Amino acid sequence: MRPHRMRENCRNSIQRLKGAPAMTQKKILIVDDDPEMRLALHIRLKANNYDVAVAVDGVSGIAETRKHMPDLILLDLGLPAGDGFTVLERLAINDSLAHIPVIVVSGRDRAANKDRALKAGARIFLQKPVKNAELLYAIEQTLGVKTHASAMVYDLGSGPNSTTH
Amino acid sequence: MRPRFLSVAVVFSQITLCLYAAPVGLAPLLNSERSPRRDMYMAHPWLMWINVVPDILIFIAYALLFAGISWVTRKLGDIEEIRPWVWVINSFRLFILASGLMVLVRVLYIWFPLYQFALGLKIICGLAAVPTAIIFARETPSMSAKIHRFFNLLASEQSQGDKLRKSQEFLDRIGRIAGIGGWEVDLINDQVTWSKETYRIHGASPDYTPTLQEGIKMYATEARPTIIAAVLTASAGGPGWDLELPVIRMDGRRIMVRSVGEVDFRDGKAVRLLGAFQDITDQVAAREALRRANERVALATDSGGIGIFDWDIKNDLCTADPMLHRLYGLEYPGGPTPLAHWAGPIHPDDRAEVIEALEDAIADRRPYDTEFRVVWKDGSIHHIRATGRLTRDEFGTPVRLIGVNWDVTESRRLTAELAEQHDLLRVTLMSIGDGVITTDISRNVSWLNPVAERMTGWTTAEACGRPLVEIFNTINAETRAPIENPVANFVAQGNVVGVARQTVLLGKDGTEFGIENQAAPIRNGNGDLIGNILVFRDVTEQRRLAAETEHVTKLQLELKTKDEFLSHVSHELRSPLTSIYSFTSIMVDGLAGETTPEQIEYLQIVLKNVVQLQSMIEDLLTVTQTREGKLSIELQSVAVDDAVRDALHTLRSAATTKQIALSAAECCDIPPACADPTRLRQILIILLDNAIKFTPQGGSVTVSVSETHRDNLLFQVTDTGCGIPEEKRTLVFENLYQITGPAPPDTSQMGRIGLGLGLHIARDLVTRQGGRIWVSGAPEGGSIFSFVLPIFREGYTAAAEELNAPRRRKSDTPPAVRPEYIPAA
Repeated sequence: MRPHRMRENCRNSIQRLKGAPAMTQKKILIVDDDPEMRLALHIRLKANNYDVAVAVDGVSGIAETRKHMPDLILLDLGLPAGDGFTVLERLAINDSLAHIPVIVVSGRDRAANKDRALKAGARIFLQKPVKNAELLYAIEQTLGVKTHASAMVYDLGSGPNSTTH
Repeated sequence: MRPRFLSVAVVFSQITLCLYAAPVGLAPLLNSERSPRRDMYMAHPWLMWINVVPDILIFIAYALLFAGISWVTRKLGDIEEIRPWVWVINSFRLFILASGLMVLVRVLYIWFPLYQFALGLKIICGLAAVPTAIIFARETPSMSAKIHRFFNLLASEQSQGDKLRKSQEFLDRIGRIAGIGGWEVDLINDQVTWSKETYRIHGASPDYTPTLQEGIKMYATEARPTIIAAVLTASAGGPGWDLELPVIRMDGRRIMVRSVGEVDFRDGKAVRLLGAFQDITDQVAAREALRRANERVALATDSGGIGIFDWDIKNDLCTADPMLHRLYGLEYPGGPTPLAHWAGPIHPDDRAEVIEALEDAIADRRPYDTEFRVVWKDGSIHHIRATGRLTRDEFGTPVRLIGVNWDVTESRRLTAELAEQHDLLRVTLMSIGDGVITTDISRNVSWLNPVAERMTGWTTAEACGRPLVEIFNTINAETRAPIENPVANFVAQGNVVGVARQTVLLGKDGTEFGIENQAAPIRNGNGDLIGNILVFRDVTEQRRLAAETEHVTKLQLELKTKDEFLSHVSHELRSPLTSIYSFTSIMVDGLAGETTPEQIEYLQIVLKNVVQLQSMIEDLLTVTQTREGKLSIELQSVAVDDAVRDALHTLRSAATTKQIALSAAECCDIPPACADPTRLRQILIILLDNAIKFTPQGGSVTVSVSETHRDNLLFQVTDTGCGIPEEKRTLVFENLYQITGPAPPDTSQMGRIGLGLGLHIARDLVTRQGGRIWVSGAPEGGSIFSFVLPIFREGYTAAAEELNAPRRRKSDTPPAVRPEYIPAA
């Protein structure tokens, strides 16, 4: 994708930050053991007109997935009761769940975990702290275009020395 | 006496027969039936005895005759000339026997009616007696002569027996004198006869009767098979034996005997064994002693490699043993040779000297004792030492020179080697870098090498004989306490001693040397202790260096710990910051209820600072990751114009705020770079941000990209800022470096200065991607930050990956100016 297209999409995402209505309500499952993170994501995604479900660990992550059959999963890697990789493997070997796209949002070191996560079936690897715009753009990409894209380099213009990606 | 009686008996019996038998036999013929004799017998039975008694006497006479003839015949059997007559005698014997029996029968027939038959027999007997008598009468003269001769023979046999006895005695005496005993075995009668000396040799009592079996058992067990085999060989017609064998005497003493013997045969059959014994124990012992003595001499000269010569000067004949020939490399001819024979192998250069030595010896000027070389046929050279002694006759004329030669090649070689080694050892100890002190057994110094002399401050001359402790004065470096003498330690423990590390040697003048030393005993060839050797080394400098190295290592470790701590802290700060960011942004976006414009303004300030804080933390993490080699770089083909546009876009707002013209020079047909797109963008953002920061309001910042002729892409960020003094241009890339000179006038407007990590990170990222970065002065007074990256080529990525494999790397110092990139002035 060419950068100017990326910027176009980015602007659209900024518009949605303000609560612009989405065409259809998609369901997103947040799997994260940090309650603050869950809450912040919940508010942010609700505000962007997504239907949100949450799970606090690996086991409940799989259980909630079966229960809600979400359109997308935001998965943390460091989880109690089966870490993110275990969840990815479980999803991959289950025919009814394998099609659900997963975006990994982790505080873990990118260099060590990105390839592993992508190989295990994740669509995108985002490293915390993740910018709102970046996250929403990634979600939109995954849900809308459904390309198997690597994590997108993105910046909201917040600071010149940003090294996020 | 007996033969005479016998001949009388024969004649008497024959006459009786002739006189009586014939008329008695004829009478019945004449008187037939009416024979008065019969009647006479009948009428007078007692007269019968007249017939019976003479008949019985006649029978006895016949029987005697038969026995006599048998005896004579057997005796005569030994005499050669009577043999042809044996058959006559035998037939006569039969006749006599028959006649006798007839007479006996006649005694019996008187009581039976066999009278007629008896008469017939009687007539035959009578007739037969006639020719017998005639034959005897005719032969009697020669017969008697023969019989006489026979009896003479018997008589001479008796005298021979006497002679034999005398000779036996003679032999016995001789045997006793000579120590030779004889023996005889009659195989036919199985009789063994020993001479007296044989009894004496065997230590047997005279009444002992030996047998053949016992005779053989007299020999020692190991000798029995030998003697049995010898006897069997001889018995089978082979030669007699002559053996030296051990014999066990009756008293158990073991002696050596010489046993000779042979076998007598009769009619091809062994009938007798004859032999002699001699006790040769003493001779054998003497012979053995001589043999051993010879062997000893031979062994001594052989194993000692000593050759013996005996030079008969008058006849010029030199007798030498095989060893001497070997020494000269000559064949052993087996006999004496002239002296000239020996001159051949002697080395030509030495011949004159040897001859001179011989002449001197003969002239009695000096004893013969010289050394020379001999050359063997194979060309090898051997050193020979020769000594000899001159013998003179009663007139003082030299007659013989007897002496020995031996090979001294090896000892000469060893001597030379020893001298060489001694020199080597001396030079080695003199020139060795370590100090060496030797002591005698009572631990008094006997020698110091130059290094030891320098370090202790004592010369060998001064120190010699003084106690080691005085010369080798050591203390512990930390405690300053004197150290127990290492050699004393050694003596106590009996092994090589390495002295503790903290040893310091105090020189005579108080100089201190850090030393390491070792002590060992000196033993002679027999393993006896003859002294000690102490070797020590000046390690003052080594210890200083070791201490420094230790310090540096410690500092590095501290630095690493700090880095790790920083990394950890930064990582941990992320989570709370994320939370702050998330919820602040939620409030700013009004997702948490209504907010006043003022609140939003303040919350935006919070948000701005949170983002700055995040950036700083990311910078810190990047730096620590780079140091630990954990920073990931993924090289790929990157469209350069996109990267530049993206970076410009990111900083557009900042530049606009500061009213700085931010632009990219026209760049078209730029090939893709081989880089990590994220990192390339990061580098550009750092450089642009830096340029904006240090460019005053109204200035301009320009980015340009061009292709160099070295397959590289040159990126340049030019600003119109304050510029960087030339001496500080390399420093700006260092960690935490910030320009301290004239501060940018509008720092406050920047909002932040940052940690000063930006350019450092940029340099790390550039070098990790195989490029270089440097800064130069712009013509207008600003700065030009330039970096190069390789152009993307197929197949290059892998090699570049290898080149940039994550590892901790020292920051390369970029060239101050690379000529090919100097911008046109």
